[in-house]
Amino acid sequence: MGLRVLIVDDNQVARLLLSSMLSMAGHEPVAEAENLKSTLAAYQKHFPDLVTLDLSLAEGDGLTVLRMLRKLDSGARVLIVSGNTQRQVMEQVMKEGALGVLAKPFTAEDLAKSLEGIEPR
Amino acid sequence: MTLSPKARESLLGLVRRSLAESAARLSAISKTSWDVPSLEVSTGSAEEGLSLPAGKDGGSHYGVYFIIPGGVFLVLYPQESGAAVAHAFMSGLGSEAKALPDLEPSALGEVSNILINTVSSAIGDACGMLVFLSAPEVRKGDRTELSHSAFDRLVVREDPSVVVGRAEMASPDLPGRCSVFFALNSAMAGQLAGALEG
Repeated sequence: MGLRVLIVDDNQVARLLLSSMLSMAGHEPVAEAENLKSTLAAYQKHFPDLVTLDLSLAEGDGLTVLRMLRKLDSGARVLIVSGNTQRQVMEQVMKEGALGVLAKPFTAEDLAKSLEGIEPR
Repeated sequence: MTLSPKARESLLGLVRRSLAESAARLSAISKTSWDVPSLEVSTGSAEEGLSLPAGKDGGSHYGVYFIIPGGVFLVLYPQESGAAVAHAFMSGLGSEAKALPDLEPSALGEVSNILINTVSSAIGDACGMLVFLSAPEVRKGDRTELSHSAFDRLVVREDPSVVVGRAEMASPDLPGRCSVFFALNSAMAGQLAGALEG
């Protein structure tokens, strides 16, 4: 059964590509957001199975969004999808409760591997 | 501030390794090989930094800017190369999405984010600080004008000791190429030099 996914990324093409890959893999992209405010609003509206979160955003950064999502819902499941592979950032996002990290650029196979074991709520 | 020979060598090595990773990322995106034929790092005043070589390229370019605390990055693509890179990146999109108006700047913003994150991540790890790139700002214009505009974003015109890095990246098979610039203000450069010397 597919996952209902909220895609958070400041970049339109990145959102389109990820949405397309998720749909092809049988998942359902339920909403897209590009900043903290729209992310929190979309999360509360759709209560998704998974949030994919970029770390470079138009307002603020992904780490702040991760913290706010986990504050809003301690069970929020967040996969970091980012070109930022800084070791200290990766350690911090995992400490803050991210499920994992998918480094950009990625293939459909990389995405499928990242989603293995994640079940719908 | 001047970089000691040890710090300069360390910084060159850090940027070289980062851009090799960037080239691998671009290769994965375009399905063609990319390399880094030239790389240099220099120090001096912002005014010296402003005299970036115009290069042999005339015509319109895409410039993609990113900011970090104390630093600015710029990726310059000749227009044809930018179009080729953007087209390769969007090859996985369906025809419906491709029909959306003018996705080229957005695609170049994302590709450049993927490219520059290797360098900003390495600088952050070296300095022991978390670094997040700003969202990209994509502009079109003349190469020299776009280069100079990067320094306005850093507000370093009076800074006596900026560190400037310049590199060329190319994929003969795409064909495509881009120029990568970064500038660090004296505070950030000092922090990085201290870390690299330690």
